[in-house]
Amino acid sequence: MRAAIGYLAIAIGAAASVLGIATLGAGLHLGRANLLRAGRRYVAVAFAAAAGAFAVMEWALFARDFSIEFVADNVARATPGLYTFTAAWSALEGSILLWALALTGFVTFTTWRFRARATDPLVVWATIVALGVTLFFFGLMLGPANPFREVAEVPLDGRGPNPLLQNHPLVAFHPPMLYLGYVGFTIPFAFAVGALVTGRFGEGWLADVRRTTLVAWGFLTAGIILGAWWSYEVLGWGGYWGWDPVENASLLPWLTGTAFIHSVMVQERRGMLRVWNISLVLATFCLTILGTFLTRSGVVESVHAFSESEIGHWLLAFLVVVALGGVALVAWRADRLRAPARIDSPVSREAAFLLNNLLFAGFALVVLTGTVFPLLAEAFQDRRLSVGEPYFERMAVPIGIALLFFMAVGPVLPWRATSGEVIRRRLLVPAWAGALTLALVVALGAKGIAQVVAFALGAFAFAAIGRSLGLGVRARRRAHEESWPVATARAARGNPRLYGGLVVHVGVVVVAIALAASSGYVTKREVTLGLDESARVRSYTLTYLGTEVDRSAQKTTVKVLVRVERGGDDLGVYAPAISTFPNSRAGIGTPSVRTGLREDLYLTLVSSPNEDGRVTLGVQVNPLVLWLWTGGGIMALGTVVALLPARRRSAVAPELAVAPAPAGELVEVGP
Amino acid sequence: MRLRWVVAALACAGVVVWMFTLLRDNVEYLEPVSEAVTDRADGKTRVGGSVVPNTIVEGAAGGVRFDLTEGGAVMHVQFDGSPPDLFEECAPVVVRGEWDGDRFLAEQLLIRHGEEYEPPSDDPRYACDEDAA
Repeated sequence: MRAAIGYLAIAIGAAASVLGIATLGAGLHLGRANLLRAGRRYVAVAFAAAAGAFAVMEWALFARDFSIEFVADNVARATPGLYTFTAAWSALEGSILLWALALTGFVTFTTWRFRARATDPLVVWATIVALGVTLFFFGLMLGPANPFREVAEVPLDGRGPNPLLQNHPLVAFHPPMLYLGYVGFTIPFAFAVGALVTGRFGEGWLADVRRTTLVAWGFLTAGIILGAWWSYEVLGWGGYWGWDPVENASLLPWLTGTAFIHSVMVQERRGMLRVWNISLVLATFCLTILGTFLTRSGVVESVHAFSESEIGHWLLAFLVVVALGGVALVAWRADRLRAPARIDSPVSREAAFLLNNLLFAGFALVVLTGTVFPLLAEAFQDRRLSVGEPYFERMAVPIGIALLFFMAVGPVLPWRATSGEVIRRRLLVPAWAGALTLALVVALGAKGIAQVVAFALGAFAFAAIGRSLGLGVRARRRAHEESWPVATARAARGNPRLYGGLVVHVGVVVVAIALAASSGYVTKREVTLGLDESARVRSYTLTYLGTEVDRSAQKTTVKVLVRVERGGDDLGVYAPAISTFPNSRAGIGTPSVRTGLREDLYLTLVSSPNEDGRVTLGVQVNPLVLWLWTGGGIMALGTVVALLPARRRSAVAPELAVAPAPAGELVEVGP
Repeated sequence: MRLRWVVAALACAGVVVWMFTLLRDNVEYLEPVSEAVTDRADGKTRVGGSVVPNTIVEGAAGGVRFDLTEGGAVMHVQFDGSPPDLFEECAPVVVRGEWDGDRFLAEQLLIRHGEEYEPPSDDPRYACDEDAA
């Protein structure tokens, strides 16, 4: 019953996509405005269909309708409510359904935003492309990834979600965030294709997709940071990033997306980098599809013997079509994409953006090579291999440090060209901050070149950003005699894009420092303790107090109670645990983390009590990890600020407006 | 102008060469025991197999030695850490480490499991006869 309703909804969604494409195509061909207006409505139908199918899926999950294969595979009678809800995206078919829901939501919102331009060919083409992508995902669900497939024999109980997906509430946030990020990049892609087809690749389409791109980027950023947090809090291996193919898959579109957000400004301002911007958008979209392919087709991690699903061929075919189509379109329009301007000076804002873009693109290439290489080796040489972390780290550290440098310098440089005097004046204070920090950390005995450089550059960047933020606020205070908070809020409202960007940069610096410290200065031990025995790790004294076992229908948890003391202070009892789930043989470790501003104490249970009653604990002291999540939060906050509507009376885009005379220096801190 | 392009091209080529050198140095092959014993790859390798019954010897100072089998081949493994809870006879494991003469020195010992989170005992490649030995 439910299966039939759900499948029907998917079929309606697919049909609406086809009809929408046909109507819009006919409208364009015949030049009939009423067809163009009618065609848009199918977008909303597709969204309603996806929402309906998703609701039916949740209904089936909560009703424990084990006649549906997906339900039987992903919930059990004992699964708690939260994990029943999140089970909808804990396996392939449901993920595609969530994907389709997010995608149709984005497309519907976009057509609503552009309702006044319903007959604009660029918007119509963008809608057609977006509907094409929608159709592909509905098609997947009609065929190889049908979430409502029925089982021949209805089981008495379901298998329950993968243990890793029912062990921490973050599962409710991390995957949907990532999907919203992935899916959001469909909109800029659709507009880029629209711009290519209609030949209107000036700056108009960039302005159209600026906000959507930022929204997608913000979700992707939050999704990646939450994924790292999840990895840290749930997986219990003590780290947050392992250059795993699945992690890389989310990083790749983030890198090209970040490059795009920056290079857009060069095109808006100087009309340059047109081909580059379109290529970045195409690449970002392709990388989201590649990411889906990597994570969802079972081609990676063959060591885990993941069942290979048919969906891989479909995704690969789709990827090839999109990539070849995109390249062909760009080649077709190549002669008209040439930029009217050139870079005047290597010491200018646009040159800094160009270098930043090359670094991001290079970074993406490095990660892509390391991620795809094992697949190619297996396909062509029939050898299974993986690329070790040192490859990624050795490449990522210098690129990251260079990016940090350009992030500090870029916003300070004026457009077009500048004099040495201007640069000296603007970078004097940041340079001192960097140099003093360098001297300080070296004097304090900081080890590791990458770490020391990252700290010094972090201070340099902080000072440069602080200066830019401070200038605008001070100018406002002087001009309007406002208090600091009011001046800050008003300055930000006057140019949210600039201030949002600067806040994001603050977050990036915080993340960079946290990454450097937490990757460079980890203390890692394993201690085996009998009852009431103690061990000392760094300044912490750990005492094994006993074991508790919790049994529920969902899982059995063995907790080891450990008293933590430091310098005579009792810091409380921590309980790292291992849970076993009825559907799994492997135990799932749950670390117990004492989070602190300076460092985390990270306890894991390596093995529960043996015959002699001794337990083995993994103990790690991880410095500054809290600041990684804090920095991620600041980045998300900055994205929200950047999305605020600018409070301006003039129709001119805020970043193009010239600041009033008293705040003359404001001009320098443009976008 | 032309000189600038040549410099840029050379820099790019240098980076690409560096990238592939790093890539080559950091590749870890993943092999079943039967291939691992014939290949004896240099550098880090991951080897998959199942633990031969009655071969697990726990060291006095921690660590464990055992034999790993797959496809009729057997190899000796030494692991210095404490093995995870599910490490037992016939357990399907993946060891990551390097060859040291006849022994394989494992730095990491993982229990291999499938997406379905059930013991993959139905996989004939990793079949283990508990009554053997």
